[in-house]
Amino acid sequence: DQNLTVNNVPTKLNAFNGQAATPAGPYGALNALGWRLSDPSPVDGRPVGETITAGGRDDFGFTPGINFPTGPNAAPITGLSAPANAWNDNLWTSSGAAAGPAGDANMINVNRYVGTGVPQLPRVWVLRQGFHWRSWTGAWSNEFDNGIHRRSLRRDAAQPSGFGFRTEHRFPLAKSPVWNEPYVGPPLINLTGMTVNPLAPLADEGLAADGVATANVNIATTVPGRLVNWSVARGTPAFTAGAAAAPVANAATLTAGLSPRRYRLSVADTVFAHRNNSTSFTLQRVRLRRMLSPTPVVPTGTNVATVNLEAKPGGRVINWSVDAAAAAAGVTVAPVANPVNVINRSATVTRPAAFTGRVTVTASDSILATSTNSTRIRFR
Amino acid sequence: MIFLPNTRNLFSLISTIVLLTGCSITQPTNDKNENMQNSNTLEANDPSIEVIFSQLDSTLLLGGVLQLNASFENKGEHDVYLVIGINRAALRPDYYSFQATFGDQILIDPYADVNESGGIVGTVKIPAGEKYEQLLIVNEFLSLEDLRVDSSVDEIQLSIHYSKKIIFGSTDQEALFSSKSSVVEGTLQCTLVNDPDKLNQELDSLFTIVSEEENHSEEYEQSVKHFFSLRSNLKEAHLKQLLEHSNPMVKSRAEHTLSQLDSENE
Repeated sequence: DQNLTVNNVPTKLNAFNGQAATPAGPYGALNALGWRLSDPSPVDGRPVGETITAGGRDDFGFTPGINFPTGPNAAPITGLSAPANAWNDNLWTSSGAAAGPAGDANMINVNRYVGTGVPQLPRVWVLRQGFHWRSWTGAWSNEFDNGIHRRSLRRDAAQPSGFGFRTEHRFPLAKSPVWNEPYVGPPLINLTGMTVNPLAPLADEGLAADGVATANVNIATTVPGRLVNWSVARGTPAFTAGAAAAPVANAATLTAGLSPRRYRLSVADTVFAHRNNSTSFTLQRVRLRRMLSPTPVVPTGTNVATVNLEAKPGGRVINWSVDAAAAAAGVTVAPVANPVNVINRSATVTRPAAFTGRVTVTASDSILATSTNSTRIRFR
Repeated sequence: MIFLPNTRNLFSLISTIVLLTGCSITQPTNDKNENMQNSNTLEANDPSIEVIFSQLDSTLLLGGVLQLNASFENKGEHDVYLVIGINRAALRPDYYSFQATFGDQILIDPYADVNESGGIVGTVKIPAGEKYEQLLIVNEFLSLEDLRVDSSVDEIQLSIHYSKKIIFGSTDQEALFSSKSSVVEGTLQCTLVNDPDKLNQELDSLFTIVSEEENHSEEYEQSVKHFFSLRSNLKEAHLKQLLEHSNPMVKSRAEHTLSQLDSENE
C-alpha cells in the first residue's frame, strides 16, 4: 500500500478564531479566519485569495477608491492572498483627520450626518468579499464562499461622544463578534445659547428699533476655532460687522432696523451649514412713557421742578423743551445726568421768580423725533 | 505568513541612524568600499531584532524602479513572530512609510489620500539567529516620478527617510493580538543615475514581460508591480496596448494609470 496525500481545500469560511483591534489604529478589527475543509486533514498553507467589490452600500463614497491602483478587485491576485492557516483579515477603516480642513473633508465625520436636511446616521459601508483557493499549479478556483465587511458610523449611547464606529464581518456560516469603538473623528459642532446684548447705546431693555442702535451677538460652541456665518431671516435689522466667515468666538455686530417686532437670527458653521442655531429676538419700540412731575403744582417760593420719564428700551438721549410762551418768559429745562443704560430720564424746569402759570414740558427722542411725550406743571 | 517576495543580494548604501525611544542604536555597518547600509537594533528586552534597510540594486536609474531590502534579524535567543501586512488601498506592504527629499523638493506618498480598507495580516516566524527579508518597491510609497531634475546632470543624491512600525510577539497569537510594537526610523542616501536611454530599455523590457498572456507566476506579478509603480513615467502607447490584456489586473491597472495621466494632463 502507498499513502495518498490529500491536500485539502477550504470550502467555506466557518469560524472566526480570534479578534483584536487592527494594528493600524482606529477603526477596525483584526479577525482570524477559520475554514471548513474539503477533507479531514488539518488546514494547511493552501493559498487563499480574496476579491473585494462593492457590497451594495457605500455611504462614505469609499468603494471606488479601494485597491486604488486597480479599483475593486473582481479577480483574486497573489498580492492579496494568504495561506489558509494564517488568514487574518484586517478590517481597517482609517478614522481620518479629526480637525482642520482635512477633518472637514473626512467622510467619517458626524457633522456631515447630524442636523436637518442631511443623510442621517447610521452611515454604512459594505464591501463584498469573495474567496478563492489556489491550486499548486497556480490557477485560482471558482469562488467558494462570499460574505461582507460592514463598517458603520452610528449613534452609540455607550460612548462619551454619543457616537461610535462598528465593524462587522459576516459570512453565511460565521459572523465575527461585533467590534464597537468610540468615534474619534471631528467632534460634533453644537452652537447654543445665542445672546443679543446692546452695544451702542447700552440699553437695559434691549435693542431699540431706531435704525442706528447696535448690539453684540454671541454664540457658544463645542468646537472653538471654527468660522460661522450670521444672518437675519428677514426684515430691516442687519449684521454690519463680523457676520461672514467670522471666528465663532467673536461677537457679530447687529444694527437695528426701524420696525419693532420679532426677528429670527441665525448662525451656521461655514462648512456644515446644517450645524446651526437660530433664536428669535424682539427689536424694541422706542417709547417715552410715564412722563410726570412729582410736583405738578409748584408752590410759591419754589422755582425748580423735576420731570421724570421712562424712555424705553434704555440708552435714549432725550431732547427737552418747554412751550414757546414759557420759554419766552424765561422758563428753562435741563436734563439730569442719568446712567446711559437705564430707562429713567429726568429734567429740571426752572422759572424766573416772577413767573407764574402753566408750563408744558416736552420730551422727544433725539433719533426718533416722532417719539415724544409731554406733561404740564403749574407754577404758583 | 503572507506571500511576499523575499531575499535578494544586497548592495548597501550609507545612511544616518535614527531610532525611537525604547530601542537601542547600533552604528551603521560600513562595508569595505563605498557600499554602506543603515541598521537599527530593536531591543525590547528579548527579543532583539536588528533591522537593516539597504538598497537592492547596484545602479538606480532616475525615473526607474527603486527597491529597498528590509532585513529583520533575530539576535535574541528565542523565536520571534513579526506581523506583516498587505494594504488593500495601495496594494503595498503595511507598516512602512517613506519621505524623500532632493534639494527643496519633497516627494510625497502617492496614496496619502486613499481611503483605507485594511488588508491581510499575518506573521512570519524568525527563529533565533535567522533573518526575514522584505522587498520594498519605494515607488509604491513615494511619487518618485515627480522628481524634477536638470537634464544635463549625470546623477543625483536622493535622501530617503524611512519609518517602520515593528509589531512582534513570542507566538503567532501574541504578535497578532497583543500588538507589542516599536518604530525604527532612518535615512538612506541613494545615488540615482540620469540615463534616459537605459531607462527606456528598462521600460521596454518590463513592458515585454507585462504583455505576456496567461502568465500567473509570482515573478510575473512582481514585474507588473514594477511596471505600474512607474506611473506617469510609463509610455502611453504601452498602456493603451495593455488595455486589451487578458489579465484583468493588468487591464485595470492600465486603465487606471491612463486615467491618471489624462487627469494630470488636463
